[in-house]
Amino acid sequence: MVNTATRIDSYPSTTTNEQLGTEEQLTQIRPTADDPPPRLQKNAHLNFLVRNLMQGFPARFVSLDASQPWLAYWSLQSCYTLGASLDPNNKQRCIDTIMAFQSPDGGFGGGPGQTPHLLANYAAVCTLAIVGRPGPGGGWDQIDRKKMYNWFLSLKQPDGSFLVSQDSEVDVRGIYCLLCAAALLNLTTPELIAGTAAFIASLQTYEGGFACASHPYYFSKSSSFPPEAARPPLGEAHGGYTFCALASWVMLLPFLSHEPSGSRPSIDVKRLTRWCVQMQGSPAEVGGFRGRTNKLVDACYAWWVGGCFALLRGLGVGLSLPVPVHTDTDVPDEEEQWTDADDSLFNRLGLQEYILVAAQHPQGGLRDKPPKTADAYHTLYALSGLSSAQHRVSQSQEVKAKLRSEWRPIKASPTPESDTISQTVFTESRSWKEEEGSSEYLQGAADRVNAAHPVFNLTMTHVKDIMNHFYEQG
Amino acid sequence: MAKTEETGPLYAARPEWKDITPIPQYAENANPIAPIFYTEAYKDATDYFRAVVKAGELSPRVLELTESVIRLNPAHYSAWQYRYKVIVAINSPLAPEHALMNELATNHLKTYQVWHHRRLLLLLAAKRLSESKGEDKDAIALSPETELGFIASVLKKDEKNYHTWAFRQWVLATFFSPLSNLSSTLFSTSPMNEEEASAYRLSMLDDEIAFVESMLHADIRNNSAWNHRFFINFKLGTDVVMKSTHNVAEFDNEEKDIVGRELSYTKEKIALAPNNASAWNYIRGVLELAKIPFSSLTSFVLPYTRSHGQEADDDQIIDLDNPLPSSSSDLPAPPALEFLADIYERDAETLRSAEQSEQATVKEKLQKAIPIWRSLSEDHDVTRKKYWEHRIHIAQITCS
Ligand SMILES: [Zn+2]
Repeated sequence: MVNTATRIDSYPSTTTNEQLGTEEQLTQIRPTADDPPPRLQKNAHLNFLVRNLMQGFPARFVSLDASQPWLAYWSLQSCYTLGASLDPNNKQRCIDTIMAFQSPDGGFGGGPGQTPHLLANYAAVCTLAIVGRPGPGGGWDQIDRKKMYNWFLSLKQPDGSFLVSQDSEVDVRGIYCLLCAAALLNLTTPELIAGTAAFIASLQTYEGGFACASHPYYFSKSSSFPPEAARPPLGEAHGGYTFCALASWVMLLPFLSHEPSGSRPSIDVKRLTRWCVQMQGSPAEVGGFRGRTNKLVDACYAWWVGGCFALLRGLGVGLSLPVPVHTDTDVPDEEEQWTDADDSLFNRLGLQEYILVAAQHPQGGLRDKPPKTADAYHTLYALSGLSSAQHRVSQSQEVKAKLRSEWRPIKASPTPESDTISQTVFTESRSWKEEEGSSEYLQGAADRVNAAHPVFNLTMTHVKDIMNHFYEQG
Repeated sequence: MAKTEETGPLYAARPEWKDITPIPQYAENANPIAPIFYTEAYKDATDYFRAVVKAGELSPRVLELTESVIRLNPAHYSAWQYRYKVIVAINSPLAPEHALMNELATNHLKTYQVWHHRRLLLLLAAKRLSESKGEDKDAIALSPETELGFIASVLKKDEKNYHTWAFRQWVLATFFSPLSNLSSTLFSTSPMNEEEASAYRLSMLDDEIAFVESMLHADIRNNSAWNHRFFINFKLGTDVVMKSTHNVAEFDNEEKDIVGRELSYTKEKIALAPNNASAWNYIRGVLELAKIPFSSLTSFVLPYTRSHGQEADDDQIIDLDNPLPSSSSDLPAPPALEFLADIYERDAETLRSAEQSEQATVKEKLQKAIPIWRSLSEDHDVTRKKYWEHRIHIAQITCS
């Protein structure tokens, strides 16, 4: 077997010392040929999740007090990814808990009485997508969408970005969270997203991945150069920010074609693809993903970076024109002409091995890497990452066409233009589909987890139900 | 009297808070999902915090209360936010606040809010200074230079802390860039004319290069430091970045010098550790920004694509522009192989887009890249097998 340990060039530094330490740890837990193959310990993980949901967290988890909707979302989405579901009583408990986080001024905060915050707001809306329902007490119709929309606008900055909360920082995670909530609740407008795609584009660094924010030079002096030239990214290319930037870009893309090509923002997809594949660790790192160049692998990047490949496929990466096979008589349609050149651009089985071997904690729940303890955040993103490695999800032109032809104008739409926008967001979001026969499992289908919607990280069913409600379809 | 170590007696037991009725998080009969079991001190402080927020009280005692909440939970963003509101409303002095932040930042490096709060304080100090025409002696205690010093001390301990680096870049872009209309000279005790200010700014950037060099000296693979180097050289409101983004003008000599200096610097670092992905990404970034073809580095790259003992004859000739890989490095280096294949692919693209392109020469170039990708996918970088196969596939489509 090829030795894939990191090459230190006889020139060690802190980075290689830590790297070799991690590789050593991973080697120790890797099963030998005599050990039983690693399987997904669904029951152990469900026990861990149910314990968190029902019994709660001890006082040392106080730092998550401002992230209460996240605790609910991570735990619930993990359960549904594992194929489990909640009984009606506990669903109602979740709805009531989340609704206590809604601010009287609109939007959801990190807990009762906390200021609304874009990150908390996403987690709250997603939790309601999972457990909520229409009607009294169901959560969905008790979301004050008008106030939430006005709150969104109050956070908007001249460079197209958004503060995560009043007087707070700009962070691309907040923008992703805002766009997701707007898409799920039918709140997208031209006014809301004006300039946002250009902001996202400004975050791409020379490495190809995306940074957290860029400097706006709000106070920019007049210059012969257009202001877009002077928006340096702040921070380096990073897996979490890259996922949020790319998913935002995918959501904004359908609206870019309306802009004149000269001023249309763009991103370097080739460089981004290269950066994403470079984040996957070697066999010595059991195929996990890292979040930055020369950092250690960590299970949560299984989703933050592993999840980027489905989004990249949405941008046409990995789809290429093969040698034509049709005869003169059959005219190919779009579907047949463009087929996948390869099943994926990353090592799907390698990533599954990392999750099964390194990320599972023996006592249930998933973790960054051994010897760390399991936590709710890593449990969800390791499972979502496993999902992105097991399944291939892509946008189906067929589904898109069907949704468009069945579209019924929304009664509440103020203008035909706003109805068109709603239709676009709806059909784009709902056309993601698990490709049949494309699943791959390291050990067997018993380890299957549900496919995740590549943009929202919800199950396809939950996206369908909540969007059908707010877009008055289905 | 009930007491807690960090924050003194419970607010419920303090006579000066008697007028406030605390608001519990949940109603008596609530049965929330995934609850946290708070300490008594935390429950007490946040119950009072909810009450003052609801009442809209902005006062010195609320400043103290938010400090208690923050000390118990530095991720409590609402407490930070309200604290800032109070500082502005009661015109609270900034120097003691800044001293408190130094203490909190050192203990809670990974918390977003500690860095954002410093940002707000610096902006507030700049505002108070410009309004007082430099007379505000309290605000002057905060300065971008002091800030850079503090950040440097933090980065020496936590070399890759994302927020700390991002904050450093924000300080530089806000106070040391010609594009910003805020300037660090606001904080200087003696007035400077425009020329002096500009010279001062440039000397600060030299110091910044020296700082990043010291970080890279400590760890040649610190990608945050490489990223920062790129930021200082090419992103800090210099003409280089604007020209490259908009193709409006040729680089002048000074800008060409920067590019040349960076290419030499990076080559030397690659020679020391040829498998360091950060350095390769950096050199790619410089070439792309300056629109220099990758093929200009062909003679530099070739020795890194061969095993030791397979040197070509001319590798032995000392060429100062193209340092050779250190003798104990691990060769061939996959990033060098990738780079060489990219040289061929890019050359093919250039030929293809040229007016009188010869299909045969395009093919020839691509056929030199394909075996390199194959060797990556089969031997040198098996993790990315699918990706290298994808690159081969694209090339084959172009050839057919
Ligand atoms: Zn992680």
